[in-house]
Amino acid sequence: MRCMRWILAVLLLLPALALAATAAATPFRIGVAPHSSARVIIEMYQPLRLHLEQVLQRPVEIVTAPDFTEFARRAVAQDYDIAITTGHQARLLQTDARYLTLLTYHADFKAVALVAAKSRYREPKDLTGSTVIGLSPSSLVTLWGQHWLLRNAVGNATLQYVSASDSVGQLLLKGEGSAGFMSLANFQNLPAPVREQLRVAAESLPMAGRVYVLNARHAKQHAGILAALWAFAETPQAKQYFARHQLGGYRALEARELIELDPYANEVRLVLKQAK
Amino acid sequence: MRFTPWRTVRGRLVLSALLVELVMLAILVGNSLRLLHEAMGEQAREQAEQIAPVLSAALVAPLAQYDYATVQAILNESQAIRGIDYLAVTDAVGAIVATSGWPAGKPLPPVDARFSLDDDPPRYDLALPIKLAGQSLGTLQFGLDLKRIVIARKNLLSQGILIAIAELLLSAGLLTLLGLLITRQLSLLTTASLTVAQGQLTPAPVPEGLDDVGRLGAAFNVMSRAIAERVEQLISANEQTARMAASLQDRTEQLNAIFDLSPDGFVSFDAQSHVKYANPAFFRMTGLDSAGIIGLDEAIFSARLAKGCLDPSAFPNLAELKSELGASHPPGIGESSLPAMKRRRQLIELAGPGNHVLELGLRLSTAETVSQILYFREVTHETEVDRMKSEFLSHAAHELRTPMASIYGYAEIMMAQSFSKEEQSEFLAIIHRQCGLMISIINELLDLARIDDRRGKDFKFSSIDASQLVREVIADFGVPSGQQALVLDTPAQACWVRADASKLMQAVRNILSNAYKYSPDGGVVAISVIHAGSDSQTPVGIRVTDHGLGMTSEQAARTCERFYRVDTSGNIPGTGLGMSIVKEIMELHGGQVQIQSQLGAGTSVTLWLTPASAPV
Repeated sequence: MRCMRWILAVLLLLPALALAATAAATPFRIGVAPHSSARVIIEMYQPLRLHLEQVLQRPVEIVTAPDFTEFARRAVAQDYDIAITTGHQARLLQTDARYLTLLTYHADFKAVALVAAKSRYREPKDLTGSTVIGLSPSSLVTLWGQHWLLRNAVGNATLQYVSASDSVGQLLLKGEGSAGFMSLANFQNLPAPVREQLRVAAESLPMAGRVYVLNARHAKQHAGILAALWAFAETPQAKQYFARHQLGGYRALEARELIELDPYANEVRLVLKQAK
Repeated sequence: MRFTPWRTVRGRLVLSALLVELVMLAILVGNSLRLLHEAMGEQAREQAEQIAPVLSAALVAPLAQYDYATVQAILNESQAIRGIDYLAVTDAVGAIVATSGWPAGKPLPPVDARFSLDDDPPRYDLALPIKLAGQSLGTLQFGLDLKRIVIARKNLLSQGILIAIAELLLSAGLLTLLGLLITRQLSLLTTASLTVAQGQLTPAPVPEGLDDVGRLGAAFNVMSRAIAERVEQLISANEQTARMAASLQDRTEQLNAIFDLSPDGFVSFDAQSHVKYANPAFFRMTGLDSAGIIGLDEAIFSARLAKGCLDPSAFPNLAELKSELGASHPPGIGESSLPAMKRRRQLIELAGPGNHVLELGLRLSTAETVSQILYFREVTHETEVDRMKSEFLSHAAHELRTPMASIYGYAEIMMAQSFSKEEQSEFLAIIHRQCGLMISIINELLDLARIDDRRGKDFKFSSIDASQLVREVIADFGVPSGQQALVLDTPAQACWVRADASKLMQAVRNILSNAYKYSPDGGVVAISVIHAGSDSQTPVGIRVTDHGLGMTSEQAARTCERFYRVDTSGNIPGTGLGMSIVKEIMELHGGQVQIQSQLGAGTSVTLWLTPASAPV
């Protein structure tokens, strides 16, 4: 009888051991919303990846998605262990995919509406009936832009989506669109010749820009991973990273910051439903 | 004479050049293939290096975005690039996420460690990691199609071989033509040389010129003329040598004949004083055999020869003989010894039958092959004659001294004393008788000397009736007083013999005289003529038989020796020459003296004569 118990215990432990081995071999995937080009995103998050590899003692990879909608869809599908995305998607993941919030950056996230410097734009109504360029139907800046157009009663505006902020700038300069939406940070990171030929038509209030959320399957490691992130913030590489991208370091996320973005999260939820 | 092509200079030059060219062409083609391999390999690597970054850059974003559709699209577009066989991308954990040109579900081929055109299928499989900022996003694997390179290599090889074959054929033709032009005169030289080799020493002159081959031709012409002259000289010298050899052979044969036929023995010694040659006469004289003598050292030879002497000490060894020669002739003069041998005659008497007496002579030589020659001369007869002469003189003097002593003694007594007339008469009678004996001896000596001297030249042979001759002898023969008359027995018919009548009568008288002298007690003395057959071939004998003292067989054998006397007492008068004279006369008649005697019983002496036909 006692022997049978031992055999039963071993049989029960074997799957756990196999899972542990699989987990050690499977990279810890950090999904970053495509707020910039994939190359920029991957290069940008390498210090964090290396730090987490050292802490977690397993491979860590930085991945992104072709656009915000696809990113949201994958995140909802539990493709990421950590998702770094805009606040409204973080809220969606928190509510619809049980992700756990971790932290965010000190720097404010603001969306801006841009027009060409030589544009005849004087007020939002000038955009009526024109083509407006956004990043993705589910990106925060695009949703904020849509809300801004709505609030300013700009009618018949045609929204054109592109994959990157750089493209938004280029299209505006070429006259392919009368206005475009991107984050303030991305605008500030545009090449100077491009940036100098653009001007900000409107600017949002500060929003939760890039929020770190943890997949619920790592709920037990939440504290450890959070501590690892805080520890990373203290490293010279992190400080250099924060300074380079004007992020100001990490800060804790208040619950209200995500709740405030429920409207935008709902927009994303609708997009995802439409995509199905 | 014709040589196979590869045995001629031309053939070897052509073969060597072709061999070198073949090697060089092989190296050229091989090197071309190697360069092609390296160049194509380098090109493939460069192509890979060009493709890889572009593809990697293009794939970074879709891989980072997990946008595999884009990845597939990129691969499909890239696979259209010429030379790419297939493309495949695996993610960070190795799972295939997109392929193009490669069957789905099929494992990817292993990556080639090095470029090789010998793979089947000909393909260069490469794999490059896709990384960004140190993060591995996946792996790009693609295969470069090498079929075109393989075909190019095959074309290069086949065309290279064809070109090499054509090159070799052209080179062979050109080299053969050049070889013919270059070695044409050499062929003429070869023909001329073979002509000389076949004995024609005056070949037609080969072409001359100012270049190397022309000078060679001129040199050959000079050489052939010189050879012809030299050959003529050699032929002349050879003929002269042949004549000399023939002469030498003739002389050698003569010398061999002389040595072989010479009654004198010769032994020659080589430079090391070993016996080199001995002629047959030597072996005949000494009884030694050739095998035991040839090669002997002179000391051993001397010992061997001395051992064969009756008195070994009588033979001086060769060293002594040479020292004697050396004393008389200083070394270096070499020749000669006859004068030295005249100083002292060296005789040796050999043991064995015949008691050969040999005279030795030594001749030294300075010739390279002959150091000395020892010669032997048979002097047995000469020595015997000398001995007999000495003995004869001794006997003659002794025989003459006996009556002379008697005459001298009685004459001296008569001069010193006075004797009576009877005594004087007696003494004178003795002197007279001794004088008569002396006269008889002297007469017989003269007869013997005359016979020896003339050797029958004064004999007057004719057919004589032996019976008649005997009767005439008896008629004149005075039978000693007190002795019985002769008994004559002759056949009825005439017995003709060839003889000198007076000499034959002297011989008969002598044996009649002996028969009476050696019959002191009397006894019948008979004389008979014997002729057993009537033909002219049967000898005729005149036999005198007495019954006197007789002789032993030894005495009978010596009866005919000069001055030999059976009676040594002196009671029987005689000179000891009578039977010698009989023997000489019979030998000169070609007849024989037969003596049969028995001591105390008497003696029978028969004179056998050659029969003759009756005179016409």
